[in-house]
This record gives sequence, C-alpha cells and structure tokens, in this order.
Amino acid sequence: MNRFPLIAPAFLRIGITVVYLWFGLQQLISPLMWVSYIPKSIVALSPVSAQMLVYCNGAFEIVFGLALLFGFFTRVSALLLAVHMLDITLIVGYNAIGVRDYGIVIATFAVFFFGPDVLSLDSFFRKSKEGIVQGTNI
Amino acid sequence: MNKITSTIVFLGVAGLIIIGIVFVRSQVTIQISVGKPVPQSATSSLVGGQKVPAAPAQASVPTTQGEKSYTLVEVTRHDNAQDCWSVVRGGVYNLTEWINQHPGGSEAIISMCGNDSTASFVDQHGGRRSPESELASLKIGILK
Repeated sequence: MNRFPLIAPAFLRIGITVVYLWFGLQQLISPLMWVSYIPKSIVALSPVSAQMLVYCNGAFEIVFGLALLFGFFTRVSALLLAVHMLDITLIVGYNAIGVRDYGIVIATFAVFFFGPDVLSLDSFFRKSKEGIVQGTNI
Repeated sequence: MNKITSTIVFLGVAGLIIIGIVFVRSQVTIQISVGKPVPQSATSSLVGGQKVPAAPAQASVPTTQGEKSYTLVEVTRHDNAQDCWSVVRGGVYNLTEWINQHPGGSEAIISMCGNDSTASFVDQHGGRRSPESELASLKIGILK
C-alpha cells in the first residue's frame, strides 16, 4: 500500500498516453474521419491539404505520446501534448467533446507539473548518472 | 550535454520522426490507390477537405438500390451554409435546411458542409434514435 502514491503518477502518465496514442493512430489510419474537425479557416491558410494536417497531427500525438509512455523527456512531452490539446479544446468549444478534452488537458498538465515518476526512463537515466558520479567519487 | 541542449536534440529528432511518419503515410496512400482499385471517395480524399483540384464534374448516377451516388469531389462543392452537403457513414446528406433547425447551433452543421463528418456526428449523436432519424430524413444518396 505504501507504494501506491509512488505509482500513482506513472498510472496517470501511462493512462493518459494511451488516449493520445489511440487518437494518433486513428488519424493515421483513417484521416478522412478527422478532416471535418479541422476548422476551415486553418485549412484555408494552410499550404497543405486537410488530410496532410491530420497526418501531421496524428504523427505528433504518436511521437510525443510514445515519449510520454516511456517517460522519456517527460516534462517536455507532456507540456507539448497539453498545449496541443488545449488548442484543440479551445477550437472545439463548449460541448461534450470539448469537456472531455478539457479533462485530458488538465490530466496532461498534471503529468507536466509532476515530472518524471519512478517508472519513467528519465528517472532511470538520472539514477544511472548519479550512480556513475558516485562511483567516480569513490 | 546539458539539459537545454539535450531537449533541443530531442525535439529535433522528434520533428524528423514526425516528418518521416507523415511522408511514409502519404506514400502508402498513393501506393494503395495505384496498386488496386479503390473507391472514388478514397482517391478524391487524397486532396482532403476543401483542397480539391479542379476535377471534371461527374453526374450522379442511380445505384442498383435506386439511390443516387455522388463522389466526394461533388460533395465538397456544397460547402457553405446556402448549399450544404455532407457525408456520414458513406451516405450523402443535404443539410442546408437543417442548419437553422439544429438544436446544438448552426455552427456545428456548417462545419460539416462539404466534407466527411462521420466522426463528429458519431461522437455527438451516434446511436441516438432522434438524431439518427433526423439525419436519415435528409439523405439524398450514397458516396460513390
């Protein structure tokens, strides 16, 4: 039971990452399903097609989602995903989807504020580095 | 390597991977459309949303079930509040009259004009009897 508070941030990090990875994969597999979500003003300003924007969005979520899944550059990845999601939430506006996205944004910011947890690669690398430094001191 | 440098390297590598994924994904789509016949909706979707090149107009043709069929290119031409068509789950719908009647506001419907709105419709109303029956009443055909 004493370990639960230690695992909780990792639980949140991995849980929220699954959401990003699922949406990212869906956008790469079926971009047509997501084209209608892109505001027409953005499509009009963009030099690339709406489908290409969906690909970029999906790839972004997968790359930083994977980094967050493994806890690699946890803070940077979480911040980028949170800001990205915040932007989407503001575009979507106040409706059922917007409220759901708001929850995802807050959870991702929580991961950003906490930083690397005990199960993240960042913690593993930091411990390894500290071990090496201590070893050289001895 | 200090923290800032390693973060910049990480972002650079991540950016390159994103570009790689987008490039490979767009290539795969082209290979699929060249390799075997795909529905018109899939090939025209390569241009996505409103970025549709000037393509020759294709007249709608009745299907074996008696429903008219339309290409996505045709649908994308009806992309405004005065003339609004949309695709939901392979069906083509004329939403023009519905824009000002939609309980959730006209903006939600206007954003559907001229594109495939399956995801947004299913997310908001999928499976609910009333929206499904309203949508069914606006059907004008199917996607070719």
